[in-house]
Amino acid sequence: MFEKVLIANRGEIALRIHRACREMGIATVAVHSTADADAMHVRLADQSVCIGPPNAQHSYLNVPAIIAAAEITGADAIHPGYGFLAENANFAEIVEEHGFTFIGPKADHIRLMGDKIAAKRTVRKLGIPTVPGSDGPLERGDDVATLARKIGYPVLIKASAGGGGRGMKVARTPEELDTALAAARSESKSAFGDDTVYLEKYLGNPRHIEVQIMADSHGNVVHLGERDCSLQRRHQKVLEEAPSPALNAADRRKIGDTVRKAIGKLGYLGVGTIEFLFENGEFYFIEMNTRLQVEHPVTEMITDLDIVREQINIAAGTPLSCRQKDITFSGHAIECRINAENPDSFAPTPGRVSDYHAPGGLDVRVDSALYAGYTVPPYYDSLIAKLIVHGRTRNECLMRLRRALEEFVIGGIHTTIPLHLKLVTEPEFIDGLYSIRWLEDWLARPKG
Amino acid sequence: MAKLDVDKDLIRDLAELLEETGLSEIEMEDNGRRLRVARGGTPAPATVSPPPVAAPASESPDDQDPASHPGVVHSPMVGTVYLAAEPGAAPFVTIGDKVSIGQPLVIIEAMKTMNQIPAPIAGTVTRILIADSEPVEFDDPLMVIE
Repeated sequence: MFEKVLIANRGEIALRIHRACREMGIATVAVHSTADADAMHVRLADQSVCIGPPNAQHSYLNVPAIIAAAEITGADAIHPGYGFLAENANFAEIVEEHGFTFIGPKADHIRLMGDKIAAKRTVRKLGIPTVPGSDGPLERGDDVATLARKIGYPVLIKASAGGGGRGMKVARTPEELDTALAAARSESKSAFGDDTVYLEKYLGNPRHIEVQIMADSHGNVVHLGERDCSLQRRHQKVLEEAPSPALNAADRRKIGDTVRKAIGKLGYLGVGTIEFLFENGEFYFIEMNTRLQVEHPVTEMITDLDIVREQINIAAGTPLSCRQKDITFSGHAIECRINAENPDSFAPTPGRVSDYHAPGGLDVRVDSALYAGYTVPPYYDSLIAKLIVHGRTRNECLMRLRRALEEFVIGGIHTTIPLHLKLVTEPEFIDGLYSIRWLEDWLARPKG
Repeated sequence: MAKLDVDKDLIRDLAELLEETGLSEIEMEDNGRRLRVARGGTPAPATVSPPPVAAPASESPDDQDPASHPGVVHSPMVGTVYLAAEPGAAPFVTIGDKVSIGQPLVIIEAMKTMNQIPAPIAGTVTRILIADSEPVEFDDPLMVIE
């Protein structure tokens, strides 16, 4: 087992990783920018190394600085968290080349799943259902119009190097196709340095349902059920729940087994999430995330497993703590992502947290690096807290969530707590009848 | 509110206990009632204020925090700092040396590469704040040039 893990991230996830390490008796090294010198996890970690100025390019994305920090502290493994370098295959390789263990999948799999076209081809061969589409990049000279007609409008043009909802353009009619194609290509080029695009059927009103898997180096692969992450604004998840209100036990078992077998054949190592769009009872693969996800706690709450601990164990060569038959799903969990944003305009509101009081009580969990007196820096994303609540039933969970949100105090800055409070009493949300377009539609409704 | 029952015997016993043992204070709690007996005189303060922070050994006693000195050279990277080009060689600079802009002051090693750190301003090296083979973080003060 590792003696010392360097946490190459910040904020709530860095704290999460520190906690898992501490509970395993592993020493931690917190690398941080100058803006994060007072961060909670930096204060708690066994060692800290300042690796650069506030901007992420020169700090949290600064590979030489992170490797150097691992060298001078004698770390033996590096956990990349999510975002930043977590899905950077080059970083994974460099980490290993310098004699450290990368707590994550093999670089080849990161690279494979980072190429959305290759990912889709690969998973389809492994038996995972995919969205009908161009089955490959659109080459210049391809008869895109005919292809689009065969798939059936509306169609979606997607960047091969994109992901996380970025680099996508819809063409609803044949007339819109050329413009959408050109726009998608140029945006992709400027955002990802690559203008390769592919075509997919655009699903009208799907839900976003993703399946969590874990795979160790002893051939054991398990799925931990699904999460419903349909509540999104501009492709950013706002609230997640497990299990999905749209699936029953048979659906879950079927997609879980399909995914588990596929990952087994792939020879994947570590934790990962396969994301689907779900419409009319059918699953359609969109992408695989080869990292720990923000919303992993909802799965932890219903399975009673510590996913970060499992991740560290997998990387250290230890077998998973359980086999598929041992995994049980108990009750219902919901996570609210709380951002330092104005709840109406969503404008970011960094600044000093004057008062902080987290909710407590049975089955209430808060993953946050906030504390009274902490200043939320303006340089990074606005997620400042995750409130995760569990109940024996979805109803109990909703009641508990409302109660917990009412208790939560984050003073001095705006947060999206008021938004969540409204959501939790919204009948369509309570009924579980929502799709990926629901939240934006609801937000656009006239107030009052 | 119930009339307070004062157990004089208990208090006398406690007072004797204080004398015998040399303690200055005894406090006890029972059934929601608390009793505290202390020796006469000024009570000991509940917290002891920390002693003044001793200046770190490497700094000369006569001055301000070096990190805020206008002429301080901050480390631009993470790694291990060396004062000379190789072990046994003369250091790049010593205190009192005049340096020009761009002149190498130290080497910082990271990922098996040696990086020369140049003087950002011209002047005289008045303080060297790191020791040879020490790990440095981003922004750590290395030297002062005046």
